[in-house]
Amino acid sequence: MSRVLLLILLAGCQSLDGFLYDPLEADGHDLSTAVIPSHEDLTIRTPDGETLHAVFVPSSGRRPEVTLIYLHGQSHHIGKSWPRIEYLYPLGYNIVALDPRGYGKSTGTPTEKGLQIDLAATRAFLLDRPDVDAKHLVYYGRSFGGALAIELAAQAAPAALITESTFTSVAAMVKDGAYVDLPRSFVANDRWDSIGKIRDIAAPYLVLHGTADPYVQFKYAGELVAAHRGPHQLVAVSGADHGNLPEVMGQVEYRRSIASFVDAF
Amino acid sequence: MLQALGLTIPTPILMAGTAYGVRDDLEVGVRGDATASAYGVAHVEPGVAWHPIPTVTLAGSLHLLSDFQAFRAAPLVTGVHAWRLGHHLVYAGADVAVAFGNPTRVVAGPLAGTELRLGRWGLALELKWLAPYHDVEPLAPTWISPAHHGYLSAIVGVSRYVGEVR
Repeated sequence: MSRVLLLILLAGCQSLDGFLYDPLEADGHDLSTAVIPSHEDLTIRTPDGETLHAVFVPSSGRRPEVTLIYLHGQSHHIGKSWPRIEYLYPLGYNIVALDPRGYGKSTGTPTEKGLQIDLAATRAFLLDRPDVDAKHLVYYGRSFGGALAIELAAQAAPAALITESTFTSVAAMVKDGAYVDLPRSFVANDRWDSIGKIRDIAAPYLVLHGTADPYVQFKYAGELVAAHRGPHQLVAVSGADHGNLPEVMGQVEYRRSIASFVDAF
Repeated sequence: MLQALGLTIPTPILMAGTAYGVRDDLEVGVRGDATASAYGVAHVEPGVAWHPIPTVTLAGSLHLLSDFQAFRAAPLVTGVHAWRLGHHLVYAGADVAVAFGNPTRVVAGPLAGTELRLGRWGLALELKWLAPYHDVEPLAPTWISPAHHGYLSAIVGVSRYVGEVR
């Protein structure tokens, strides 16, 4: 007897790239002026033809020489991140919120190579502005945006680097997320090897992470700090999960942690 | 995983294969994974099945996966007992695989299924609970993990029998 089989199996296979980026698009943003009275929309052209949207929030006055580049995570855009920008606004820095390619109103599709281009283009664009001082740039990345902030720090050293609730590498996420030992290349094309990059970054590094983060495990924060060779500080927020770190800390304490670190350099 | 209609669903894995009965109680076969190929991973599963009595199947196969950057192998052993319902079959059993790597994992679990025979065609539905002893939290989609343990697998199979069929 011989037989021919055709099987359709429904099982737990994953392709991680799309879920890593999960870009949230938007035709426009309705940005509240309740906390931040004014902002400037920026249009940034990349060398490979994409058009990025960013928002420049001018300093509220305390430290106008500092410009903080805020890089949001997956499933976000500037509009959805606006409450976080409002939390940061009282720090008195200029704040630039970027929608990389594919997010918000920015064109294109996110890939590791493309996002690297976006970061370089954004930094170059900002340095052409008279109100942005290259010596006082701070990169702040939350969740997946942490990988972007570390990438940008690897491209060009900031005055300070801040990541919140970020991971060490795609390979680590795959390893920790799968029961069997799946090679990263089986499920994701992109690497985002933050742990490899952080070893060569000397800029002061502040790591914020919730100890109860069920999505991006807290252990990554310790691994990033251990690998970093410059001055660094780990703020472990007891009980915070992946999405509520400032709320668990309290806004005042959240800002105090950032300000005390940034202002020291 | 795929996203469709606002839902996140597991990627359907399309496999195609052939088996040949070398004796009444022994068949050899091989399957290939078209879905894995679409993701850039070659996945083939050569195997052998032995029927010590007509209603019992003991099968062994070897999953081989490579994307030409990395390689993984996982031997799989399956034991199944079948019961006839007229021309149709229902069956139950278990399988155990050893997924070599760092760490090496044992993936075992129960399975149950049925095959509806329509002439030379067979339509199979099989449910399998992979590694029910493994607590998947926090990173797995829990709706395929009963009580947050293991992973449910549903298999829809279409068979076409050729040659002498019993």
